[in-house]
Amino acid sequence: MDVKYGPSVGKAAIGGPFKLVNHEGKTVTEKDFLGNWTLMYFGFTSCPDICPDELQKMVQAIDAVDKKSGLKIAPLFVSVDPERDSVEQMKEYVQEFHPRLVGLTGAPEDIKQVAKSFRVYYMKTGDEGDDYLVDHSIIMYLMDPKMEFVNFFGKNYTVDELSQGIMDEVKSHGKTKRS
Amino acid sequence: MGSAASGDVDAKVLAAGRSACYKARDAFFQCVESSKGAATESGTVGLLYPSDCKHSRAQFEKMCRSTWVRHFDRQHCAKKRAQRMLEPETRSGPINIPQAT
Repeated sequence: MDVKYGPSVGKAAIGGPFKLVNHEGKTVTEKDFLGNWTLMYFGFTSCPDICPDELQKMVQAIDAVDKKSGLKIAPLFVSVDPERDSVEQMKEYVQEFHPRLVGLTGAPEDIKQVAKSFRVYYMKTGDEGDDYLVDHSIIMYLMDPKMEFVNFFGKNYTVDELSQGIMDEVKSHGKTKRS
Repeated sequence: MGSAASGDVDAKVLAAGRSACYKARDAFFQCVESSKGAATESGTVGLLYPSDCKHSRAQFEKMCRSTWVRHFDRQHCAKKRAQRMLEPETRSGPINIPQAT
């Protein structure tokens, strides 16, 4: 008996509308990112080592993609520590990584909502008096120009694997007929 | 907007601050690794270090936020634990008891 496999249907229900504040202090929604491929990473500025490493990897990857294919991916850094990651803090932080890196923060409930829609785990840890770290999932989300989720990349991806992975997704996205 | 804007940017988390912290951290752990003294001082999360590394420890604690110090101490302890498990000399398991011949 022949089993026919059709094209896979459905997309993971990841992503969705959000209302946050960028590092220039402007309120933005997901609509502001339509038209470009976007790579999103959730973290916080008080992160000892992982976030700087991941962001460094992210911006190196998007530069590699730009160099190899001319495609400019929009990198986004969303804070999971909105109580401390003010607009000024985000601005100082993201500008050191890449001129196109956009930092997003906002009201804790708005961050909670966007984290939920991306299934991002985050939790304050430690008890050093006032100070704390935020334990969080380490994932980069690739969104297509319609701000729809395409794929995610974990911490184990190198810069080369990440840039190649992104280019592969963009290429196959172009080939799939979407109604 | 609900986020608390402190108005002050924490420079310790920016590139230069991070770099200074990492440098102090590496100097401290380098001292711990190369020191022959007994581990008598206690850091955080059960980290013990020799007293001749007191100076680099103080530098480390000065250049890094306390939550970062704890994080790096924990990372170091975990790494040492993993190493101990892998090294044949220190890993636990069957002991060879010399047989009387």
